Amino acid sequence: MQGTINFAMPRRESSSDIDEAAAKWALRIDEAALGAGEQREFERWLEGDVRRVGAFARAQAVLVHVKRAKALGPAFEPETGESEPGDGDSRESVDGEPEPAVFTRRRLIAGASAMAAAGAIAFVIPTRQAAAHVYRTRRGETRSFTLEDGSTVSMNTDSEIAVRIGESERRATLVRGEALFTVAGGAKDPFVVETDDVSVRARNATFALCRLDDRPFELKVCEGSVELQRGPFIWRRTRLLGANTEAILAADGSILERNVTPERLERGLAWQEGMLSFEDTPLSEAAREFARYSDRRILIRDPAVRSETITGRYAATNPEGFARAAALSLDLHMQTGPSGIMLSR
Amino acid sequence: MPGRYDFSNDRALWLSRNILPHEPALRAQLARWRVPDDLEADDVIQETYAKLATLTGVEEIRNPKAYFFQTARSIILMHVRRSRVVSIQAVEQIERLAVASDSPGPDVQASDRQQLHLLATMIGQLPSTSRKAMIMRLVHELSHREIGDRLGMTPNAVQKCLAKSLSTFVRQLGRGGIGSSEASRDQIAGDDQLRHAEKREQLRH
Repeated sequence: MQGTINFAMPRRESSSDIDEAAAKWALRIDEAALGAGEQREFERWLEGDVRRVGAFARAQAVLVHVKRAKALGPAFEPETGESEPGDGDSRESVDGEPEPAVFTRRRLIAGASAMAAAGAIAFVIPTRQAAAHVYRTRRGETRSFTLEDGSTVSMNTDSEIAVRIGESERRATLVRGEALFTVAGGAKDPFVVETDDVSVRARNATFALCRLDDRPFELKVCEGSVELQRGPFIWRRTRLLGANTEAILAADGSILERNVTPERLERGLAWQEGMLSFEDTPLSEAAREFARYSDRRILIRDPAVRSETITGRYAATNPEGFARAAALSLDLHMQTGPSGIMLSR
Repeated sequence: MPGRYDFSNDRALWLSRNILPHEPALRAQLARWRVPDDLEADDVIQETYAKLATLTGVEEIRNPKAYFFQTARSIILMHVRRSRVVSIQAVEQIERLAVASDSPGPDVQASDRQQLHLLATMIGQLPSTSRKAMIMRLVHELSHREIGDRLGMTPNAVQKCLAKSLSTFVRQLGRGGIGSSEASRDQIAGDDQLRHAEKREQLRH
């Protein structure tokens, strides 16, 4: 995979060479959709240098701009300011055949509008050949299953993933929530899990990725090792993470990596058994965890109560049970109402 | 699935309307900023477009010109910070540079008619075969094969020929050299190649 680009590297491709190649691709893609082989070639070309991405985007923009020349109409003859012998003859063959030209144009207009319709769906690469299977869990639900390649996935509450297993790729996109992947080894290609600007590659590993609103993304590696990448191209950073580590990926693009004990990892993944496991966890944090699993909220107003801590394993879908246990052990008052479960002193 | 780049028609259109017209101004600005020697303006411009192609949405950008300039500046800073050669003072110097793009300035968008006229001029300035191929592609919307049949060229050669013209347009629009004469344009292109050669020579030593 492409790493950082070294600017002091000698024999760099010149920016004008890149512009020429970008123009060729822009014209090629403008004419008709790419075949699978060309698509791969295009992606490989793009990934070789970040400047190519920019040159291609710019060539496309210029092409869109010059396409307005269509408004000049079929009779358009530019003033060339140069006279060439034989020029008139060859132009005859261009514009001098009204009937075939009309036929061709009509056919091409149909083609062009079909292309415009296809273009309306954002042409966002990489496009993938294998069909995506989408898996979802409802709030409070967890599910485990085995993929075609033998890898297994456990999905936590309120999660969605799209999985593509093809001949040349094994790829999952975490749309939201949390999922634990156990990647089957032995395959030629790594298994890639992506979410937003983060991608995790593994050949033989067990890891969990978590994506929740208003929280940093979290990656937990239980077994084996994974390659974590964040950001596109020159902004991309790569980390190799071994077993018993976790990475906190904040919205500012940072990667905070730390070692964790297997016990702590296991606690964080107790949801696989439908449990939430806490150790000296502040009540506010526990309440927030429970909110992922049910609509029944645990409400704590008093800041002093919010920072009280609790330890133990609780059924994830039973916030009442947890609140009762917390009230008992911390000597709190518990009150259930339509808005949720109140804990107070 | 979260895309890495947005190469949609919409994004190309947005770039062509909101960014492309400001490229000559950015190039002028890059010449005023003291861009480190191992960084070329062309590289910065390409990387800036790359960044714009990786944005998930552009609707929120109220002042595309300022955004364009800011992005270019952040790319320069990133390279400067990464470079081992450049001193901390240089970083500070660049960081202090204001982005002078908030003022509306003189870059009033050309009217549609003016733009069409400029386009016609650009196309008119192409060499004969390139011009014919370009008109067939843009105005008559013929395929590369159909153009090839008419001009006695292979589809591949047509694509190559169109690509050459397109990169000429890229250069002209980016440098604001649409109205310039053939001679001065060649001069610019020649200077550029010279600069490239010199830079590469320096890098080798």
